[in-house]
Amino acid sequence: MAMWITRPRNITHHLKTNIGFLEFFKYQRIWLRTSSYSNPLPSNLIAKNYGSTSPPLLRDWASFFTARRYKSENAAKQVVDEEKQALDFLGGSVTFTSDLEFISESPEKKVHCYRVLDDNGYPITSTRLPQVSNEITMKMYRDMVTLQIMDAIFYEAQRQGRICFYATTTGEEAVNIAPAAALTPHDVILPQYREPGVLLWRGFTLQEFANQLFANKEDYGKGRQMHVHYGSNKLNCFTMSAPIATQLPQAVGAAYSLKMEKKDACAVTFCGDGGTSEGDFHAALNFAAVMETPILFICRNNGWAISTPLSEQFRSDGIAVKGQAYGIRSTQVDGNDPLAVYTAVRAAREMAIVEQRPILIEALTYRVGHHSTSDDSTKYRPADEIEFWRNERNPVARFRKWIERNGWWSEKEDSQFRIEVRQQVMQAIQAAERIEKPPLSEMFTDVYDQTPSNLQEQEEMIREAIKRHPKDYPSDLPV
Amino acid sequence: MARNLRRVCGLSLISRNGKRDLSTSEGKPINLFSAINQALHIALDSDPRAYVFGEDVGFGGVFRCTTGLADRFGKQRVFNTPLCEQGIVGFGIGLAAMIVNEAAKFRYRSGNQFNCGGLTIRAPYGAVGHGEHYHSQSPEAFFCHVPRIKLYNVLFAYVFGEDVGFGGVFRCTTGLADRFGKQRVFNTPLCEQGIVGFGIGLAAMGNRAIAEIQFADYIYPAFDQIVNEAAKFRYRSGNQFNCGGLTIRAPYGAVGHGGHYHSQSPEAFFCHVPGIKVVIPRSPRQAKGLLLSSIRDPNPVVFFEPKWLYRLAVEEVPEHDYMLPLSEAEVIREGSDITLVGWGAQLSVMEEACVEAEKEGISCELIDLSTLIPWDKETVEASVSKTGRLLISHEAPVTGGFGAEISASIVERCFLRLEAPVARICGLDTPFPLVFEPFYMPTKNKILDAIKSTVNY
Repeated sequence: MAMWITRPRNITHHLKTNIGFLEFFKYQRIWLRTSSYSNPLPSNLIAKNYGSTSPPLLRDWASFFTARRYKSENAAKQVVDEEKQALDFLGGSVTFTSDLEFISESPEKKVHCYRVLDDNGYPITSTRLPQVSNEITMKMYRDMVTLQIMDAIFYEAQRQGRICFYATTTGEEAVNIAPAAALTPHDVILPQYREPGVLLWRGFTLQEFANQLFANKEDYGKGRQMHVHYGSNKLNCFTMSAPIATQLPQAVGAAYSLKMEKKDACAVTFCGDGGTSEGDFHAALNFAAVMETPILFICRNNGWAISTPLSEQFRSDGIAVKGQAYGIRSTQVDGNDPLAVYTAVRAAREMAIVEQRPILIEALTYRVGHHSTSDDSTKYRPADEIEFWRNERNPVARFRKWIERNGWWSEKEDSQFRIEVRQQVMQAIQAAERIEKPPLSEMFTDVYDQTPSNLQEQEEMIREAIKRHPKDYPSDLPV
Repeated sequence: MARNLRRVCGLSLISRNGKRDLSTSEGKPINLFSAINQALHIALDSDPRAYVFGEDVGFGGVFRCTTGLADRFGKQRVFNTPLCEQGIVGFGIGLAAMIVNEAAKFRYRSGNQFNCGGLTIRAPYGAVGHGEHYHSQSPEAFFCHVPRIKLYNVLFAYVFGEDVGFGGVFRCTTGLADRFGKQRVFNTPLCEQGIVGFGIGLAAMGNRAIAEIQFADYIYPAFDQIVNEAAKFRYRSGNQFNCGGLTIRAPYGAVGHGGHYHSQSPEAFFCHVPGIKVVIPRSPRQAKGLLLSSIRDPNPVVFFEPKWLYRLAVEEVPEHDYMLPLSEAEVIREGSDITLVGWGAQLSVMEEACVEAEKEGISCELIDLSTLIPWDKETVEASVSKTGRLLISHEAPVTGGFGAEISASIVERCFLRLEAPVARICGLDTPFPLVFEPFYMPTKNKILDAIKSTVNY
């Protein structure tokens, strides 16, 4: 009976709510001997509300008295509070509640997006402006311009029939260049296919780009893959492949290798908003978290996966929120603000390597260009939307305003630079066109480390066929 | 007369053999995507419960096959999906099942209670002139006594997969984690595409990545990573990169009570992929040597282990480190009347048949292919040149099985020498059944009967 005295407030409360006499007991502090129980005290005995007509206490009379009998014994492992009951499950301690709750499908507050410069290139808060060296800032700008011009000219080359295919990064120059600027050459990169800027930053020349596009014998890929599928082992950038998001779990494996070698480096992998729907995205994030690998997942959320807008791609609040579901620290940045992207990637890299953990970065941007030269995006999106992003939200123009205002660049230098780059791109194209194609033998090498007998036979067969019907085969490929 | 009537009435008349021949009615010349578009319009029009969905189909699709459908039938019947092929097909199976591992076995495994026959999966295939690796593929075709893997011989070697930590469901990885540590021998989450993708990345950095897929029946989520990534990794990069250090191990084949999803022999799917090797050992001693060779081979290897033999097969196995050569078939029984070719657990069944045939005066030569791609044609050709007869046996379904490749290649090379058609004694063209397994399997007597009929042709 001493129990009653300890919680007088509760007794009053109960009397006020007109429930039966015996209801007192259910608000007492009840000590459980978990070892003598196969089941804990039924939670409805301590529930605040219950919908049934008869008081549960009467139904559970037996178990209640059993609990009371053990009250004085000091064998409790769990304390049952009047409202909460906590128990250990394999995943950790779980707090129970008698209020049925559903976690909302969308967060109360949408994720905040980090940016440093506004749309006109003015710093938003000068006190927290990131320190980026002048050298890096100017290289970022020059590379963004180079990327812009290279895209425009290669696109035109496809339209003129000089190459079969091209995919631009128009509108995404910042998210291409700034991450590369924030990394070191030892960081291993596994791109999707819309990140040639990463290679450009690291030193891939315009000539090397052109060689791949013209599939000549200087192409490191030996003319085997479709255009824009670049790769460079000396620049630590894995060769791109067309299937979406397949590089993501591979990047986790690469990161694990860096972890085991205790390298001061991380793996960095890219995908688009569409890529986050692929099974490989979920596989990769889960593995990365479990294996505790030093990896950055950078998602270019550019609003479109060919013709599929975000509303048809997923219903979460963007991509950054998905990180938490896998136990991954994440952030969302303005992908058209190179300073913001640079800062975020730099910080993420530090965390990834020091803490040996994955980080997810969602960079919001817009795909101004068509998906590729095989696409006409005006078929599925309004032309004025494209123009708005091309002009008002242009990341290159925005960054240019920032650097010009700081006195590091001028309009005259800008036009001069652009003329030079244009010339270099044109020269690269002309040179690439003149370089001969890879020899036929390269079709049969590298399938395996050594050429097996079936491929040797097939090469002989093809050579015979070429002799008999030379007109069936392109004449510009050395046999 | 019939033709005139068709023009007038727009009807197709019943032809002489009783079948209506609609394809010969007159029409305009149109190209392929327009024809497909017309078919889809008709399909949607004639069945209110028909749906068309996939990546970018809403605006017409990247090849324009679905133009106009969304406008005409509405976005609830013609719609874009998220970028996820496994999601698209899985969703489609569920949708089809409501209208009347999964699609192919849906009807069979449910005893015809359910079916997803309404599902049609369309995909552009074949060469397009500039598509190269990823836009040109033509896909119309689709231990035992455990070897001790010597991790200390290799600088950075890893073993990983579902449940390998405690030893694995077949005990193949027993003791490895204790000996080499959890950073080199570890469990992965339950995700085959992740296991293989991770393994590719690890191998590409110069390590030996020995991935385990718990049953070959579950390898399909990793098919994209194996076919599109691992197999092409070296080639597409111009030999700048390779994932040769990757070995994928999986138990395969019948076990007596495995049913659909613990008995499959999927080797044929992988034999169609240039760039990987497929290796299948027949016995404990073979398994150890072949696995070590596979691990050390500078190409990605898919290594199928006959689960039937995990416990049953006992053999003396040398304790030291040894390797057996890949792509070299072995003549394990010499003979002169007929050549038998097989791999894995099936060889012991074939050997019994050979012994019985011997009693009836037929001398059989038995060859273990052991590596299925690249396979040793020369040894088989030499044998068939000697015997003039060939019989191939495998557990996998006969249609499109690897026996078809062997048969076609040998007929090309040995046509004039052959005394009889090439025989294939294989699994039947059904999902692998449980209670019907004894009927499904290529048994000793089926092989023996075929030996005799081939010899007596």
